[in-house]
Amino acid sequence: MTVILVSSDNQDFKVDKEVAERSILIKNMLEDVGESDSPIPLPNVTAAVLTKVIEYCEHHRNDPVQVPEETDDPRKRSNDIEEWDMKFMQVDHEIILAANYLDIKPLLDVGCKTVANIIKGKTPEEIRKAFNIVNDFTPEEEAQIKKENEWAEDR
Amino acid sequence: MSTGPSPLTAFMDTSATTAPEAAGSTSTTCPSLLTPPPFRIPEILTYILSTLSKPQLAACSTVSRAWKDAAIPLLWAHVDNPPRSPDFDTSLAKNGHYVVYLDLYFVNTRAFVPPAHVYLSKILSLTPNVRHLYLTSSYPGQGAGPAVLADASNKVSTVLSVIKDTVASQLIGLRLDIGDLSEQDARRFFPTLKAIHELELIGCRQHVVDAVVDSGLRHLVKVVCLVGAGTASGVYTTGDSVFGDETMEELGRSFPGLQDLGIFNNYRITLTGLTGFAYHCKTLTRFQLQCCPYVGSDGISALIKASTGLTHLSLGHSSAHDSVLMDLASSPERASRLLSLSVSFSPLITTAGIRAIVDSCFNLEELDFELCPQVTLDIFSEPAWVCLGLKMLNMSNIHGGSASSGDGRRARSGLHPMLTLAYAYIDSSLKDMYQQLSRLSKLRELDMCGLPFHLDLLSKGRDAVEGLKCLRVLRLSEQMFPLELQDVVWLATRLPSLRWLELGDESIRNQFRTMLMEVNMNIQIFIVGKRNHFRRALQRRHQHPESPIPDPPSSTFTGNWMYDDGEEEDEQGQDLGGDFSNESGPTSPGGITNDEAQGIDEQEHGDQQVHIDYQFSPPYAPDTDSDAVEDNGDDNEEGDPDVSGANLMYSFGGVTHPTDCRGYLDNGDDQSEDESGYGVEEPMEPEDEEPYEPDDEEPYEPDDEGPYEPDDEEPYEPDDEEPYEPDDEEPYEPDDEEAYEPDNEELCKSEGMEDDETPSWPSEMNWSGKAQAEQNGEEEEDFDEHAYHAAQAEAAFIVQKAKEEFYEERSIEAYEMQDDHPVAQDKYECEHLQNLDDHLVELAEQEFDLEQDRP
Repeated sequence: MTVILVSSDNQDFKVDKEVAERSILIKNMLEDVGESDSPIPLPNVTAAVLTKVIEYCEHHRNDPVQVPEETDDPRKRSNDIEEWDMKFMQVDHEIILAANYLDIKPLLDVGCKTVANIIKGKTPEEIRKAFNIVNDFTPEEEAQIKKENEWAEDR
Repeated sequence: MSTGPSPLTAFMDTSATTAPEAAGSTSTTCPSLLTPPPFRIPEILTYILSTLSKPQLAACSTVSRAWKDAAIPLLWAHVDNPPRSPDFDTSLAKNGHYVVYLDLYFVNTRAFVPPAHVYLSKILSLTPNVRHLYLTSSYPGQGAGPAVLADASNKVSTVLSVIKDTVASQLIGLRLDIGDLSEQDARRFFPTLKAIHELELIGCRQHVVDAVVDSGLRHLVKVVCLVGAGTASGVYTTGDSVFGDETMEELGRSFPGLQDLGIFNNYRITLTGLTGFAYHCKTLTRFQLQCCPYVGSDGISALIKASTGLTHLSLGHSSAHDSVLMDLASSPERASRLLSLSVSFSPLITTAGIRAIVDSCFNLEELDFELCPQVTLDIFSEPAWVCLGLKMLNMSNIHGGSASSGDGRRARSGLHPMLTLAYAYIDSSLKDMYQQLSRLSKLRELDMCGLPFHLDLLSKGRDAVEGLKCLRVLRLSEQMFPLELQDVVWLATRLPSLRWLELGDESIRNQFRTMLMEVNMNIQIFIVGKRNHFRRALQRRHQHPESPIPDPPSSTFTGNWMYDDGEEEDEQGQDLGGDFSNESGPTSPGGITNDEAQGIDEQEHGDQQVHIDYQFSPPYAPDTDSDAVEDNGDDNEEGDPDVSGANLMYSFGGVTHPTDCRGYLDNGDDQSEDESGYGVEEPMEPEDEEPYEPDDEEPYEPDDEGPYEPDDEEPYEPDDEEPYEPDDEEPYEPDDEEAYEPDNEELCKSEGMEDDETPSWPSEMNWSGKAQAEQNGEEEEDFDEHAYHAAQAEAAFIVQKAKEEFYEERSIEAYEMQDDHPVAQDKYECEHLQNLDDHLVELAEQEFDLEQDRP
């Protein structure tokens, strides 16, 4: 069975239901709507991004539906990304937003880890530069925060 | 229609826009493909940052206000052994409410540190939201004399009452490693932990577990009881205080919903206890049983059969037979549920058992059969394993592993002709091995340390290893046959996913390592000396349940042994480095004549991450170690009346301990001596030695205290008719080419003298004493104490290692004879293992002290 997804720029995508249901958002929608052939509008996702998302879901269609062991202990979270995913994510980070919107946890996970890997090893200034972030601290504030968290720097 | 998680709502409003967030500019200048929008959603930002380490979070916290808001709570969520400074206290006062996990260490031996309960009370008052509390203490009385010991129970009591009065009712996780709890304290304390889910009791005695059992804690799902890791009163030696079958059954009865149980070092629990537990509690998903020799296969099987949800099973140092694994594999349901299995250090597990697992456990992700000498390469024969999702495989020291067979030892010195015969067989098995490995496409971590055959990595295993696209961690240290140069280069440069490579000091030198890391910036290469390898094995065994194998780059655990070592090295600086090289080459205390060694040395000091034992390279100087031990036995017996032939098992286990603590201790000495100019010889030793006494009070008291000094000096005198110092000086003569040989013997000898167990050594080992005598002739006055200590540290390790080998041989033989003297055997094993535990505690202790000493 297939479903039709409509991107924000009105392109239609035909995908297997199984693949589409990788997105919890879509899965819930389908459940709510019941058996229906009506296309599903995704006003927050462009065609370009949706293509990528579908590609990801196709690739991971046979993965077990993740039941990640929820841990809020940051030490235990891993930073590893599968090779395929890594290449995939190099393409477009807007996917993170789409993953969040469509509620595809594994994809969001990969996306965030990818960004985290970019942050790794950078100084604050480099981070700002990499992501176009404006430093809205006063020098005093910045110094203060730095001092407060100094203890963490050699850990 | 329903919506997704909470971020979604936030996202819906804004996501249509693609304009960068705080930045006024557009994303056109953004060097990466990343556009800023993900950061505008705080939840996503938090999610992104949550995988970062503390230093990275600290950097992120100063990027912008939004980033600060995300980074600070993460940064403060886990506070681990915080610095004790006024600055930190000020920051804690401001950010303490973010703290959820709190790891604290107490050292009660130093005058400048406030009493534990004062410190704890202060910290807890600033961290109102703490949910997980981990307390570790240097065991009361360990660092000082009887006065502190008398005060110990008082101290524990005050610490408990602080917790009770503050955070007890909100705690979800608690680890208590602070020494002995009195029954009264325990009964008062545990019922106050109303919300507790996870409880770890280190060094817990029977009445403590009883108190937990009776506490009526409703939410408890996880209990870890580690008996005797350094309790003040030496729990192991007073066996009665360890909890037994009844308590075990009560535990099941009281907590029928328990999901995670770990029992360590308990030699009272038997089949009865485990069966009784399994009768009441059938909900375990994780079960760890380490060093509980009396349980036996049937007990474990009973539990396995009862626990229908078991996913993680760890049986370290167990007396489990293959039948346990067969039971695990026999039911398809059970087999498919299993995710993680560890049977490390299990001498009775054979190829057939492991084979049963890999043939039936489809979903297995972690498999560890390290140091199972009866597991051979036959496990890799066809047909293909079914556990193709394996992420971690540890096959170190199998195949009669190098550390476990006497043959192996001899082979190191190139004397064993049988090995060439065996080699032909192994040669064909290697192909199978690589064939199977190549199928494990999800493998992330592979341990192949200490294998007694040539790996032929590049020539035979290239395709297989290069096919492991997810492989991030590879450990290859302690090979009996060092890796070829091209193997090393290939491993370091041609495996794109590899981030962590451990090689033995037999395979690579530091200079080369540095070069390789310059070539491949993505990889960290570690040189693991014999000593490190051993420590790692120990630490692994004691890792706490969650992570059988730490995640290398970010894990605090792996970090510890690696980095701490590095720091040790760093602090001790020149001295240790220099000393070490004394063993392998002619050197003098001040300068190193061996050019290569010098180069390495200098480099090494700047490098925090590597511990190098390069001096150690000819590790098993053929027979010296055993000889030494043999010879010195007599002296020791005088020193330690407790040890007799009848006590063989006992003393065997016991001895490892003082030997070791000395070895590692001496490293510590070096450091403190650095500070004090190390002029004084004697005063240093009692000071540092003491912390280790309480662990073993009974057997070691005489051993540690009395004989200790004699150990250093006395035995030499009768032996050599020479003062001790000159004796040791000789090897350090820069121009003495032959220093190594006598040096090594000498070291082992000196080490052996601390070993009262000598009589128990096999008779094949004998000590000629010739080298010793010759050496004595050439002695001079100048004695480098540093070098001596460092050398002894290494010698201690050699002896330790030799003992392990001996132990392994013995235990296997004994088991093969089967049940003739099971009790004696178990007793023997248990004693031995317990002493390993002591040893571990000391290591931790010492490392912590070093930590404290640092400015």
